[in-house]
Order: sequence, then C-alpha cells, then structure tokens
Amino acid sequence: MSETMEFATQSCTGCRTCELACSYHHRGVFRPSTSSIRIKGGDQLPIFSVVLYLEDNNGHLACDGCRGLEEPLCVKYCNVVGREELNGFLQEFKKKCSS
Amino acid sequence: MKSHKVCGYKGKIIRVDLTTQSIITEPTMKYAREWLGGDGIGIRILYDEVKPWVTPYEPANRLIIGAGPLVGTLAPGATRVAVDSKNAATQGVGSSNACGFFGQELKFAGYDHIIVHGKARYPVYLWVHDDRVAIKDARHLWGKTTWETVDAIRNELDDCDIHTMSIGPAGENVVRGSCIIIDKGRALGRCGFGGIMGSKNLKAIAVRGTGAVEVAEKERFLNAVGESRSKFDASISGIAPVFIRHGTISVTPGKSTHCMLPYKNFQYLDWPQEMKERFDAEYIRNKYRKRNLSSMACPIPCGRYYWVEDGPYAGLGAEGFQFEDMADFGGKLAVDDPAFLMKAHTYCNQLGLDIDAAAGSIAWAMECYQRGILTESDADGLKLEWGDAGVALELMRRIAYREGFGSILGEGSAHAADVFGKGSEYYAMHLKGQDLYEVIRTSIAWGLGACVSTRGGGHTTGCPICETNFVVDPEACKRKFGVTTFNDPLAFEGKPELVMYYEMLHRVNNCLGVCHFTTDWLDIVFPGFPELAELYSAATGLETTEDDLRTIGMRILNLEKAFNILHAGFGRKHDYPPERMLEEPVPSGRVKGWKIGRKNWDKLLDDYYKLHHWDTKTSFPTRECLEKLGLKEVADDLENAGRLGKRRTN
Repeated sequence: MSETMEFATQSCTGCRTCELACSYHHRGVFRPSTSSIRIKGGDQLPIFSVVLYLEDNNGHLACDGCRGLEEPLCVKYCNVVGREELNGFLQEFKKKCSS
Repeated sequence: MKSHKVCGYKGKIIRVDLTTQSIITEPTMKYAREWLGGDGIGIRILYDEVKPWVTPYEPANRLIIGAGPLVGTLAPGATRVAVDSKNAATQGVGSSNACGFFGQELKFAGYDHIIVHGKARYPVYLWVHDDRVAIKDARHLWGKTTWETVDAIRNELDDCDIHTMSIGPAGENVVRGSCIIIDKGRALGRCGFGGIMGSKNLKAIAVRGTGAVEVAEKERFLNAVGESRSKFDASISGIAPVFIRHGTISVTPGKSTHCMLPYKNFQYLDWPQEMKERFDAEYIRNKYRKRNLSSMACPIPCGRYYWVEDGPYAGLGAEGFQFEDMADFGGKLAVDDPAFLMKAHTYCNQLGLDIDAAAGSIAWAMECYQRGILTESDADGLKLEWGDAGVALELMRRIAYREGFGSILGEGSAHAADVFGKGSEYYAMHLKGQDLYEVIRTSIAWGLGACVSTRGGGHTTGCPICETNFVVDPEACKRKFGVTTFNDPLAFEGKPELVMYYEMLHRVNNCLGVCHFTTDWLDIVFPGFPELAELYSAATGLETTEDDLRTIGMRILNLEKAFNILHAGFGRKHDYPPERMLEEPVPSGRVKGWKIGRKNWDKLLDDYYKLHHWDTKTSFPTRECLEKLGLKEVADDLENAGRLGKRRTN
C-alpha cells in the first residue's frame, strides 16, 4: 500500500482550511504540520493537488476518514467552491481503505 | 473549563536589532488586554518606541508585524497579518494589512509579532523557523523582484512551504510609494513600507512553522465558528455567492450607478460605456479566470487565478486583479484593456510598488500634460497621453528604479507637484500627502472615512460600503448603526455615526486578524462585534464583550490620532479633501451637477469631531476622551506639546 493518495483538483482554492480542521480532529489543536491532508502547489500555475496520507509520514498523521463523525472535518470546513470535489476524494479514500 | 495557559496567542514577540544583529523575545500578554493583538499591539509599540523626531527611513523607526489571536484557527476569515510603522508618505502613523499565509505561518512558528529596528550593514533577510530565528545574508537577492526573491529563498532553504514578506526594486530604492509583498501577490499597501524595509537593508522575512495554535474552550470555540460560518450560507446572504463569483470586481455595478468610478485623475466619475463593457465582471471571468483562490479559514474564496492567453501580455498567469486595479490603472489612467490591468497589477507586485501610489502619481502627470503644465521635456521625452499603456508601464519601471522623472513621481503626486509648481498642485489628488484612491464626492460616509483616516486615505479604517453597494437589510442596518441614511450616499446626516462604527470594527478586525469582507462590512448579516467577541473569548479564555471590543477600537484610533498630532502636526485642515472633490460639480452621470461644498464639509467635520469628543476647532482629542480610554499619559504628552483638545460649547 502506497503512503499517500494524490488527487489533481479542479475546484480547490488552495486555502488549506482542511489542514487546520484535520489537525484539530487528531489532537485538538490547529497544527497543519500533523494533518492527514495536505494541499500542494499554488504560486506558479493554478494547479493544486490534494494529498491524503495513508500512513504516518514525516509528522503527518494517517487519515482515518474521521471515523465516528457525521462527515470528515476537512469536507465540513471546506469552502462552498471546493467541498463537493473534496468529498469525492474522501469517498475514494474510504473505498480504497475498505478494499 | 477555562485554560490558564496562553491560548489563541502564542505569547511571544521577536525583537530584532539589525544594527547589532541581536535577536530576543518578549512577552505578548502584557499588551493583550488593552490592545487586543495584531494592529492594536503594533500601534502601541510604535507610539511608545518611535519618538516624534524619528523619520521613517532612519534606523530608529520600527517595523512591527503582527498576527492576531484568531489567526491560525478556524475562525472565519482569520487569515490576515498587520504591519505598523511610521508612514513614509505622511510622516504620521502607518498601518497596513494583507491576506495570505504569512500570519498563520508566523503563529505556527510560535510567535505573535516581529519588531524590527536598526539597519543591517548589508542586505539581509530574516529567517524564522520555529524556535530558530536567524539573520541571513541577502546580497545575492538584492535587485530581484519579489517573485524571484520568494522562489530563491524557497530554493536555497529547500522548502516550498516557506512564506515570505519581501520587497522588490521599489523598496530597495526607497521609493516613497513602495510596498511589501507577501509571497507573490498579496500587498501590504500604502504608507511606503517597502522603502522602510529597504532603508534597513532588509530584503525579506521568511517564515516556516510546524507548531500549533490552541484554543482555550474547545467546544465553545467550535460552536462560535459554526455560528459565524452559517452566516455566509447563500440562504442567508445574497452577497456571498456574488462575491465568491467575482471578488471585489462585483462592486462595479453599484459604483457605476452612484458615480463612483474615477476617470482621468478624478476629472470624471463615470467610465465610458466601452470601458464598462470591457471591465464587465462576467466577461472577465469567462476570458481570464482559471480557478478561485483563497486563504486559511476563509469561507468566501474571492481571489481568482487569471491567465492571459493572447495579446501583448500573453502567458501572464497569477492571482488576478481587484476592483482597485480597475479604478487605478483602468479608470484613472484611461486604459480600457483588462489584460493591461493584469500586467500592471502583476508588474507592481513584482516591483513591490503600491498600485494607488503608482497610479496616483502617473494620473497627476497625465492630467498636467493634458493641461500643458508638464511637457515631454519634463517627462524625459515621454508623451504622457491618457490611455497609453506602454507609457504607464514605462513610468512604473522608472518610478521603481528612480530614473529621472520617475524618481520625482515616486515621491507621490503631492511632493511631485511641490517640485514642478505652476499650478500642478491643484491636480495632486492626495490626503495628508498620500495619493488618493477613494472617490470622495459621491458617497459622503465613504469620503469622510477616507479623509479623516489616520493613515492618510484608505477605506479600510472607517469607510462603510453600504451607502452604494449591494442590497442591504434596511431594518438590520437601522438597528446596527442607529441611523437611517446608511444607503443614501449623498446625505450628510448620520454619516459620522456610520464612519465611527467602522472605525471600531475595522480596527478590531485588524487586531484579531480577521478579513473585513468576512464581517458585516460586506454584508450586514455577516459576523460583527457579538460574533467576534464570542470567538475571541472562546479562543483565548479572556472573557471579552462586544463593548470591550468597541472600546479597544476607539482606544487604538485615539492613539493613532495622538501619534499623528505629535509626529506630523496633523489637525483639522488635514481632514479636508482636495479642492476638486469639494467644489467641482460631478460632470456627468446620474448625479451630474452634485458637489459637496466647503460649508457642508465644515459641518460634517464638526459633527464627526463632536461624536468622538474631540476639539471641533483643532480635531485634537480632549483629556476627558483620552482618560476614559485609559490614555492619561497620552493626554499628558499632547498637553506638553500644547496640542490637547479643548471642550467647545458650540
């Protein structure tokens, strides 16, 4: 199993609010360096990708799909522009984990 | 359960002396209760440490960067960073604020503020990486644009997640209208802060943080976040979807209706029909937009990535321009090409040149050329024709690199007019020495807020939007402002009250690190004082009410006012707009023939000063007003200088 899943995005606005929300889910503090989700890219070209960590990696904690919560916190706090697409990525992640 | 440890804040301020290369840390919390954070703490430190005889470009001036206590949390819109210093354009107080990721990164590194003073012996940059703070050689970066600088720093430190504040050639050359750029596209505009960094040989500040920001009352905080976020939903706010779709360009229709579109150096307040069509928001969206952009915790992603596919600027891609670029480069210079807006906007970002300063002085020069006051020979052989994009870009370059005529323009239209004389002074559109962006004539509270603004113009320290933009909830406005003229732009009654509300709110936002657009500035239903008080109380564990926040806002305003009085000698006469804005009738459009008139402005200022408990003759704060805000020593300072306000009976 590879360490990460990476998705190229059409809608992501690069705000990284998902990183804040995810880190809060894990440890109750806002610490993007520990987040299971990371947004890559931005300055040069309008290409962002969403990275989900499947294993603990360099401080980033493995994604658990926010098991037990109504919806993953990254999706809940995503803005209205990126939310639907991000939710799709999380669904793919969950499918992969259950396979 | 409330926590006793520092929450929201990180509790540490870095102090750097570039002359001695010393780096120490100091506690934030001694300031927090009275000054809140961000801009408020910055202004207090500035007042205490920079004496009236210190000029902006000398080593003793402080550059103070601050990320507020909500930055780095999920508080909606808590994505901004404040910078305060002595104002290079006005010689009074300077403050600037920008979005982006710098503020959050500073908090994750473990700090609330950075104070920089002194001057390095050669160009340096400051590197803040968690608990390691170092001054690094930047001689190889000197001469680079801001874009080149951030790329080079990320490359040499091998970390693409570093965020920077940097200056370009304009700041290095200590151009008065220069600014600081965050990463590649967010500007800490006005006040000439680029030159202040340049005068210190400080090329950049780079920051990377892997730590945490904590909140005191977790459940209460998340509830407050949810409560605030719900107000941005399309079912509650009709404005949010429009703003997400077009960003600040969405304000153009309202400004068009109310004659708020500056054209040819404010000679006209309406754009030609062809220009309005080319600058139409849907047209620009379809032609240039690739995706939306935004920053941490922002619920209304209003930034847009634009890509220019054809024409002379083909291949240009970056965060797109704001309405302000349209007004500055399109309207004021009469260039009706949106691709030129993109070019001018990105060029200024790369050079580290403030767009209001650049467009203001170029527009002045073009009008003086139009009227025969300036000639080609004065302009080093350039024909300063309206609408000439090439000349405009060349002037921006010459301003940034201080070449000939550009060097004079770079001082701002007020100083440039002093140099040339010959009646050119009338055409210098400035407030307190700083080039003006805001249309004053046709939106009275907006104009009043800009004219009395302590930082020399600007609409982000007390100007309401509601007079001319968007549909507002009239009943909610009446309750919030206590006046009924909030959407009657030409009425004088009730306008000091509107300005005062936003003087407080804007300052509180700038302390907490919250974007004005995610508060009731943009839409009356968005979070305001109650929501901000709740977010702050829950985040920090320091119980704070709505009234506490309003008081802090007024405290900061009065301290800024005292700073201006002591440092720049500002008084009542400096709160007047340029003569054109008072006495020239609006030449065309829906309110053709309208003018303010000096007598009306006299009365407006009287009412404004009375509301603030300031001396109506001088505008100076009274002792009573200052002591009520806990500023007795400031009242003493003003009294010692012979500039304390008196209570007037009329």
